[in-house]
Amino acid sequence: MILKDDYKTNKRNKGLWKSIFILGGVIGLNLVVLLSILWFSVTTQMRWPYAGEVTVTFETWQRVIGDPAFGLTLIHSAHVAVLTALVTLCLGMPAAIGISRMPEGLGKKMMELLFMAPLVMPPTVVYFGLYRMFLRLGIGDTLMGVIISHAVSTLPYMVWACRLSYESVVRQYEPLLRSMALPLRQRVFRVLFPLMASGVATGTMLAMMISLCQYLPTLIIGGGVIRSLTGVMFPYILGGDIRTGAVYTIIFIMVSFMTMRMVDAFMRIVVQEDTCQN
Amino acid sequence: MTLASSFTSPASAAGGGVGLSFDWYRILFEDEGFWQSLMYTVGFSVIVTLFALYLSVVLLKCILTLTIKGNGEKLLPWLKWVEFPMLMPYVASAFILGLMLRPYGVVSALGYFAGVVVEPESFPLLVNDSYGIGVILSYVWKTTPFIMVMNLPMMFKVHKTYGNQSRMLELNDGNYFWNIVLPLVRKGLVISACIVFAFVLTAVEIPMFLGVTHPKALGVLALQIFQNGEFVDRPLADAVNVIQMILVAVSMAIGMLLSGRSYDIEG
Repeated sequence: MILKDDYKTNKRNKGLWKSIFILGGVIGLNLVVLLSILWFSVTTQMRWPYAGEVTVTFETWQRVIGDPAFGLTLIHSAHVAVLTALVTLCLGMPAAIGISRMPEGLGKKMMELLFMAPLVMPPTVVYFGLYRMFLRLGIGDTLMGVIISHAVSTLPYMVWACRLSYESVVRQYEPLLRSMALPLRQRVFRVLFPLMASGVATGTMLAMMISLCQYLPTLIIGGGVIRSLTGVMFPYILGGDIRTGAVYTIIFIMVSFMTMRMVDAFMRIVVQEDTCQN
Repeated sequence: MTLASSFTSPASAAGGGVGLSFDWYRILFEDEGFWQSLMYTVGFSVIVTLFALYLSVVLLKCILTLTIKGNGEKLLPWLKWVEFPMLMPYVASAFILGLMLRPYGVVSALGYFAGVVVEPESFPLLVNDSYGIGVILSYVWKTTPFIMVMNLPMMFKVHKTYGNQSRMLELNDGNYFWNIVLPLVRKGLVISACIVFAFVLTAVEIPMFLGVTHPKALGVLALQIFQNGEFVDRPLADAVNVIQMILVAVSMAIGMLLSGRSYDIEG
């Protein structure tokens, strides 16, 4: 009996160590990537075998951060990302709930496909089409146009994440909710948000991330008026300026990381409040 | 608009008239380069999707094992590092993979210190190669965490519901994951794999940066016809776009068929 138990624990630990090894490997790989990018942003030698002296210089960092336009670009990008996430949340959550409530059948399938469509269409088609439309509406080259075009590409992710959490958690309480006849504000903020926190957090995080990463729509619809981090970064990367490209990549990673932490923290507060009230 | 434009005839486009024809498609289908591009793009998209799907399932299993056995909660902050590739745009990840994999890059330098690579010229060509290895590697690196993140909430929900029952029935981790958790998250997995396939098929940035000039990826082909060609040639780019859309629609339909029904988890 003891032997059997020991055997079981060993086997169990083997699985545990294997998992730690695999996850550790992936994390290690990503750390190596991060360290190499950090190295490329300060080194003067871009290729091995190193001929001559290898020196470390922060000249590129100083040049990029010292540029007065840099702060403006950063604020612009963050501004667009936050507003895009808000627009996506306001449109995506009701849409997700609506689709989930639809009876199974062709109609539901069609709606699902319709909401997935922006993912499926080639990006050039989507943005050139949007640009033609926005010009007619008079919102081409404006912040609103850029935000709407970003929201078009983030909406499918939000709808999908919200649907998953709605269908797995909230749907079973639907009859209860209906019988309680709560006012809309309470139903949304006291019930739907806390219960769907994981889906909403995933969707919002993805929306911000994707909005930050967009290059094509900001370029086409912003028409050069709206500055974005990717837009500033692109010429350096394509032009082969490795050091400046690396600096911008690191700034990018930091901004995205902070966005992610913020959404995480916010969602934790929402969930905590919910448990306290219970 | 794209559809309409792709069905105009070259003569009518030049003359400004209106007509319906398949001429642009005929031009496209008679071009051998287009078929090569098509095969190349579909090839690397399928390989990327399968690899990313497999790796994300492996990662999900590891995370589940850690949650069950180890101090899962303590280790969870480290998981943010697995999501690291999601923190940057495709352009930046192409740039990074280029730096890592080129003959003078980081991997080759590490190989040199390990004594495997003697000189940069002897390092195998992984970037801008005709097999698309660089493109495949960078997409796998970028999309695996995406599939994982999209399915983590669902997996935790399933675990919350069935974790105790499985412990009561003394299921081992493997059985529990493959027979209970995986079928329940299958729909999410298949749909996210379809999204990845559609995205890789129509994407422009990474193949432009890490690919070769011949054969081109379909997205790059469309963009180049659009940007470099004459104005009257633009319907040709639209025809390429329509073919991309058809491919994606077919893959989505297959995905919908494969994904099966969704399950209600009471949690």
